[in-house]
Amino acid sequence: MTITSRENNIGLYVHIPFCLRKCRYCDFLSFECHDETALHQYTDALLREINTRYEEWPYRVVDTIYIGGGTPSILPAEDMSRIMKCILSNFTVAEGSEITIEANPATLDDRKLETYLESGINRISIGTQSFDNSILNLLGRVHDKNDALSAIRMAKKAGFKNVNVDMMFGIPGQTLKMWRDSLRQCVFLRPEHISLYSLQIEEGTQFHRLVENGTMEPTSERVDRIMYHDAIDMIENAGYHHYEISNGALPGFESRHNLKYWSYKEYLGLGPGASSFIGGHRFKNTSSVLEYLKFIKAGLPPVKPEDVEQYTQRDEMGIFVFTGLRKTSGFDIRDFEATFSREFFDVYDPMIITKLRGLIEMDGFVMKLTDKGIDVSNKVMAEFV
Amino acid sequence: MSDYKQYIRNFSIIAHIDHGKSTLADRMIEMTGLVSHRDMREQYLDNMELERERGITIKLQTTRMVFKSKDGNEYIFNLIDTPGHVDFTYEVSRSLAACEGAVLVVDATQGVEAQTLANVYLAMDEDLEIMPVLNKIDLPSARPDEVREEIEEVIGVEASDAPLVSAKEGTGVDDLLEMIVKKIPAPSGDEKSPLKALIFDSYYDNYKGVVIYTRIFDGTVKEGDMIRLMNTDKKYEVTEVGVYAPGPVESKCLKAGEVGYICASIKRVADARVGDTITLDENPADEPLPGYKKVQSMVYCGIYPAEGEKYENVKDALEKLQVNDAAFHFEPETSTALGYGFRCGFLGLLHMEIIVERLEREFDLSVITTSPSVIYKVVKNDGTVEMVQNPSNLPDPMEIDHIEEPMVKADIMVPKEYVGSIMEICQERRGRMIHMEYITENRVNLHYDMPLNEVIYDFFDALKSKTRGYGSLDYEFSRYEPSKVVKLDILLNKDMVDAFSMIVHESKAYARGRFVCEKLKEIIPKHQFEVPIQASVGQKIIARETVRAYRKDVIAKCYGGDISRKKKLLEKQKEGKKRMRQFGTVEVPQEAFTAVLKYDDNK
Repeated sequence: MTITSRENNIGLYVHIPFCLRKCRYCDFLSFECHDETALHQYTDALLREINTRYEEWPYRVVDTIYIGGGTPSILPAEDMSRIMKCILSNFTVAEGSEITIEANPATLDDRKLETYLESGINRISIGTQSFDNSILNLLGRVHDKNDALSAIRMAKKAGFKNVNVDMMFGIPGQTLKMWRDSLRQCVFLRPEHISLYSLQIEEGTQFHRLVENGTMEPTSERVDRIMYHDAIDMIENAGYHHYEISNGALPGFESRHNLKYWSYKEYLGLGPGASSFIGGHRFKNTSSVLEYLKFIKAGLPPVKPEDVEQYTQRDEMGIFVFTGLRKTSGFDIRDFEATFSREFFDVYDPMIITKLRGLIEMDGFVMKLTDKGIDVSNKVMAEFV
Repeated sequence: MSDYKQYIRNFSIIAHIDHGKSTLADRMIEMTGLVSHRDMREQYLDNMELERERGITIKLQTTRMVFKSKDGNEYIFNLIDTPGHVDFTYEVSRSLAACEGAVLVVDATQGVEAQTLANVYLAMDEDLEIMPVLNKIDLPSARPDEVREEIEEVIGVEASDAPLVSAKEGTGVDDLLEMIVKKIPAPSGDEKSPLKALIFDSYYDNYKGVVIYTRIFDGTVKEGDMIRLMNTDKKYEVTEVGVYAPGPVESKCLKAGEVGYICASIKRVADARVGDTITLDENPADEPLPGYKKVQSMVYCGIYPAEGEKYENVKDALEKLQVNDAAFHFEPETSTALGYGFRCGFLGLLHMEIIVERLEREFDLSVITTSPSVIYKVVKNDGTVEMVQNPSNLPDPMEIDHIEEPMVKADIMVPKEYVGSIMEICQERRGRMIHMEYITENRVNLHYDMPLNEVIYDFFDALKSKTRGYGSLDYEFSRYEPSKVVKLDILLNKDMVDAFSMIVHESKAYARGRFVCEKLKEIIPKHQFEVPIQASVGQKIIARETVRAYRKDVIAKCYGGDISRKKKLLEKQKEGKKRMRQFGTVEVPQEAFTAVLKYDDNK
């Protein structure tokens, strides 16, 4: 075969681990950075990684790119343009690829937006989180409601035809009304894609400390779930397709890059802390920016041996199932069987269906979570790992 | 020939936990040249990993040292170790009986503690020469003059010439060794008389069988002798005798005044009981040495294999532990909730904790322990008496005339500012104060009459917590006394879980019931349905909590394709599920069983 089948195309993930300020709930790999020189240097390192990575996978066609963070929009416009040029000149990027950048409303301006579009980026994900200033302030976001509104407008005006807005619920102190108001505002703006995230209080964050010392009361599970189901109803009524646990999109705008994660497709991660699943291997770049820079400087792949997962086929089967279940359409067990050359119900006890009754359902060969199953998806997924 | 005995000194070191007994012993061993500094492992005598970790001594060690005194003679020092906890009072007394003197180590920063005092009294009972030493003299907070005064006032022994040492740094240890020669009497006894030797400890060796630690009072014993254990009346042929220096060194014979070991192909330590007297079968002594006592378990609990653990493995491990521990015993029992397991008897709570920890650490087993219980004397209507140590075996209340519970005499020593809070916790635990004495201006000894049941539950934790670690406790069994105790049951989703049942005093039932329900509410994870947790006495529900059904268990954001992180999270969740115990429809984490026993400061 000479034509690479589309099925085999990979996604590229590019990590920009810098922010204007660390949000109080955030445990992602990101650091405060106000130093342009450092950002240039980082960009240089990233370009070198793109070059070497390409040499490892020259025959793979890329059809989605996702530039995430941190705050990718913190980079000066010319640095982003260099990154895109480098990717496009190395990798074979298919026509019509989905190319996303994450942006913080406080860091956007017309020039950056134009540069993004010129460099080939065609999708923008705006980290709005809320349209309520008190909530934004509590979260420690660097932008306010007006920044968010104008960022979305600017992006559309600049020519982005595919905009995602991130929204967050289950925030301590956020009332049901506050959440509904924010989401109504979001739906009114009619972005092509909406992500709905339930706040997780992660160890090591300021929020976690506040909860531990009793200053902050986490949102009750009951309220969190009301917020979630409310939101799903609201976006579905507005014509969005709820295609993944936390994501809705106008038909045809489902995030192809994110779907790769949930459909057992391959992807290559670039930048510190970025994960890859390619050539049957899973590995992760070092999470230390300094170490990353050292590896790159030495011309080495920035992966420590302990960050290469030694998964067995059984491990991979679990991953196939639990990622597949994140999609509301579930997964087809025939795909599972084709991937692993094993009968699904040889691997998993058929009784599992009975055991998880009410939480999963079989629709022909398709297995998926029920609405109730979504709320306790970890419990369901844990049965398959 | 001059009498060899005048060059022997047999002594123990008595001290409160942490006062530096083991460190001092190490230093003495090092200074007499037994073990070079290079080979010194911290605290040579505490040779179980667990002992070293907890800084306490469980199994005894005994060591022979040779000390060259300034008087030009060489002396043999036999250092006989004593276990360091209230649970082992009888063992301590037997070790002391093997000595002529005791080096009393007192922390110069802390002063005399209840446990020190208890051991000093034991030493006085054995008529030992008590030689005080002030340790930790290197610390800036050391107050030797005050502590000296305290020793003289409280214990009534001369302390003006007590050596000042720093076991940690080795200072003053020389003086101490010279002082031992001068102050501790040489042993008496006649090597020509019939053999009388005291067993003060024993352990099981895979090759030699039971190795007995012994002090020879009269006579001589050597390989090939037929010996008889006078209290158990069993006969064995001696296969080896020797001394510990500190490893075993075989010798021709052991004579009056000496300390050493005897092997005689004995199969179980329980056959060579601490306190028993060894004599020769051919030419026996007229009567055994005084003080023999059969050890009695005071505390019982159930030990069950945790989920996924094999019953046989637990049984094997318990058998192995028993071989080496005459005070520990067990028998099979079954629980509706936990299945097949064992009812185990211990000297006290610490002894129990040690055994459980050893099962987990040395045998890598995961076990569930049920609420510890004392032995209740149940007098039935027909006048018959049943001894009950498992709450599930309590006869039908209709058949019971009355129940008696074991009482102990507890001595609690605390700095005076804590007297109030100690009285409170004793009051809460049904303690009756017998009297209270100021042993110094600042330190008070409180004598209480208390139910053992209250002591084993969380008293020690409470005492430590209320006195910031400065309080110390010593207790001994006194008698059985009629008491209004009831059986408290715990129901999960309406089903009784027998492993949680306990016998408590009527007046405590509500508080305990509430406490256990609250704890379980914290620990039992949410289920898909509501789980009522109830405490009942008989048919009456006295406390209730509810674990609400869960609604959310979903991680919304999966970040940058980091599937491994998510996988690990799910695996952890699955692993957590494995550690659960299924009772009917309710899953209970194994730590629930220990958590309901923990002292809660905020209560």
